[in-house]
Amino acid sequence: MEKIGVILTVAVLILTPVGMIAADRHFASGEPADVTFTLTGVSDGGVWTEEAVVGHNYWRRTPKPARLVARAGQKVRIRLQSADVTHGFSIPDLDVGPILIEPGHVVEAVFTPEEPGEYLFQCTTRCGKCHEEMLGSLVVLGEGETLENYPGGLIKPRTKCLLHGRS
Amino acid sequence: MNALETIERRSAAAPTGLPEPSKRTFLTGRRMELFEKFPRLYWLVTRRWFQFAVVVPNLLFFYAFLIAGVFGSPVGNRNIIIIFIWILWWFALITALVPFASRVWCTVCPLPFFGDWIQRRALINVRTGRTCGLQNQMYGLNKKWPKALSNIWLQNIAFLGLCTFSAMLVTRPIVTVWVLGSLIVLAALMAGVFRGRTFCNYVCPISGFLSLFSMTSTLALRSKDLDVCAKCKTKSCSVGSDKGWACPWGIYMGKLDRNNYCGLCMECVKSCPNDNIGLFLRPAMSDTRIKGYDESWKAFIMLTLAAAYSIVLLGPYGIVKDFANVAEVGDWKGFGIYAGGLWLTALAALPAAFAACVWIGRRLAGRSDLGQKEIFLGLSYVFVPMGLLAWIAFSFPLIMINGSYILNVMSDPMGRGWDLFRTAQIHWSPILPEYVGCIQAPLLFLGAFYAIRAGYRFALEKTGTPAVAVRLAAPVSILVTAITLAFLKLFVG
Ligand code: SF4
Ligand code: SF4
Ligand code: SF4
Ligand SMILES: [Cu+2]
Repeated sequence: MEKIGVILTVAVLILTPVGMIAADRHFASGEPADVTFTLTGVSDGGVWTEEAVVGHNYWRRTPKPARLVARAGQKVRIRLQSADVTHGFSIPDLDVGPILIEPGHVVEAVFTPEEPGEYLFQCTTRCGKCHEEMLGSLVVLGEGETLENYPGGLIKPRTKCLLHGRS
Repeated sequence: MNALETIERRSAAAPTGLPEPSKRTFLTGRRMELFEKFPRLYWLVTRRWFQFAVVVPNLLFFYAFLIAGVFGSPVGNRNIIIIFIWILWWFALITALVPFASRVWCTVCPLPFFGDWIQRRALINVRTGRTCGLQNQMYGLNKKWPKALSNIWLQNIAFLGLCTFSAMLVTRPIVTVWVLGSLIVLAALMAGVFRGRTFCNYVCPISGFLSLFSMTSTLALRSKDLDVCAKCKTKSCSVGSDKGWACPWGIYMGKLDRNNYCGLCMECVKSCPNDNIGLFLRPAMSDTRIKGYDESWKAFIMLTLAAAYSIVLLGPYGIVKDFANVAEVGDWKGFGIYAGGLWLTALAALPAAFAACVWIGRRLAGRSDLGQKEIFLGLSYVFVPMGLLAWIAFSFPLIMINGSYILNVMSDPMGRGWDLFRTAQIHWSPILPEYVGCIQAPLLFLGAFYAIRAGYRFALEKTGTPAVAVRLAAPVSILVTAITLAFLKLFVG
């Protein structure tokens, strides 16, 4: 009897996180694509980031703004989520969005950019003081191109909101 | 060290004027013994694996909630740790578990799991042997908790402290993780040092209100026949046996006359050789004895918090909302005003108003022989039914407002796009908010009724004459009525 108890307890302690990771993997796998990004909108600081913005780090720092890279002709999937309030997502030049992103839900944008270039994406829902600064870019590389062709001239990732810390 | 030595408040005077001469119990009035009625229930709770089996599922959930709090969405109402603990669990506790099943939460609570394990080095089995006069082998230092702290003041302060920061607790999952994580660690550490459920008895912030409000419960574990206990040579409920652990809460069944400090762990039911412990169904609001200022103040704190939360969350005063919500607004001065007001009301203003009422009542009754302290303690019970029902009334709209979130986080506990039960996107509000008042008003009236009735009964018991009793209880009854009307104004407008 006692042994069963110990085994059950150890099983709970190990299998709970394992099960949660498995579920997370399962639900994250959607439509197959060549590249998948997870982009989180953070109102405080005005950032789109690829970093995981979760319970333990959200209150501590402003995450690094994202610059996504794909190749022309690749099917791109962006999993969009919000760490705080409702945001909107749009890549005007690729006719993606606007897509509404409610906090705690994940929505996806799937598209295939054919033309190389650096495409601006932005927040389309007024989400706070730093809303205007919620910009980022998707670099679509052409044949034989590398990121050096795109030194990031289009968007300055460090913005006023970031420099001055939390709004 | 005598294991039967229980702290003062747990001992009771022999019950007087009981109707049945055959069996003396601490219960009066109508009652039904459930173990007799449902032998399967008795069978279940006397299995050694019973508590383990009910705690482990909760341990799993608790653990999953902590993980969700750390790695899930930082948005409070999209994280299961917030919605399930502060909304659903709280609601279930205050509206169902405590009023109808006493401290049954403590039967299934995962917080002391590791502490018990450390102390017993057993999850299911019981160990026989000798430890400080007990009939069980126990591990850890087995120290005795200091007498000066053998009350619920620590719990009162801890609870009021936590509740002051409630706005932060319910909006930041990580804060809840820190609080609950610290509690489980502290429970384990304390179990290693002190004997039994010292953490539960004297420190756990949840315990204070569980103990106070479990007095109202329709469920009670009691000795079936006090004469059997008096003659009992082994006192196994208290010191343990080869069938069960010594009561972890330090209770001797022959003296247990209130629900307050029994965690319903069912060890005593297993160990009693005379099958003399019953689980009784009884009328609500049956335990009426407040045994110390710490318990009175717990009642003041609970009522004040019900009022404060109602004002903050349901009331029309935006400024108070901002003051309470320091996490979002960052207005520390406003928060200071809010916190100061809260602590002052709970610890000083309400008790002072109540003390004045007691004093005036004694004057009106013309019974200066009745001590202020005695009447103060006795009448402070009125805030128990009243506080409980005010909390229930307050909790209803909360659950209604959050209906959708409950369904959402069930399917998507971390707000990461899961959909376990296909409810992640559902929008649902259980009842139209305009009808909430129809539930709240009767609840408040019921609370006032129980309060005034309890006040009068106590006064009658003390004075012996209805006319004098009415006078003794009148000022307190007026205070109860005034507070009820204020709540009503707040809820219904
Ligand atoms: S007193 Fe607190 S820690 Fe102990 S069992 Fe009850 S709720 Fe859990
Ligand atoms: S062991 Fe049973 S009979 Fe003996 S004191 Fe405890 S409850 Fe009473
Ligand atoms: S009196 Fe019995 S059920 Fe209550 S805490 Fe003690 S051993 Fe557990
Ligand atoms: Cu935005």
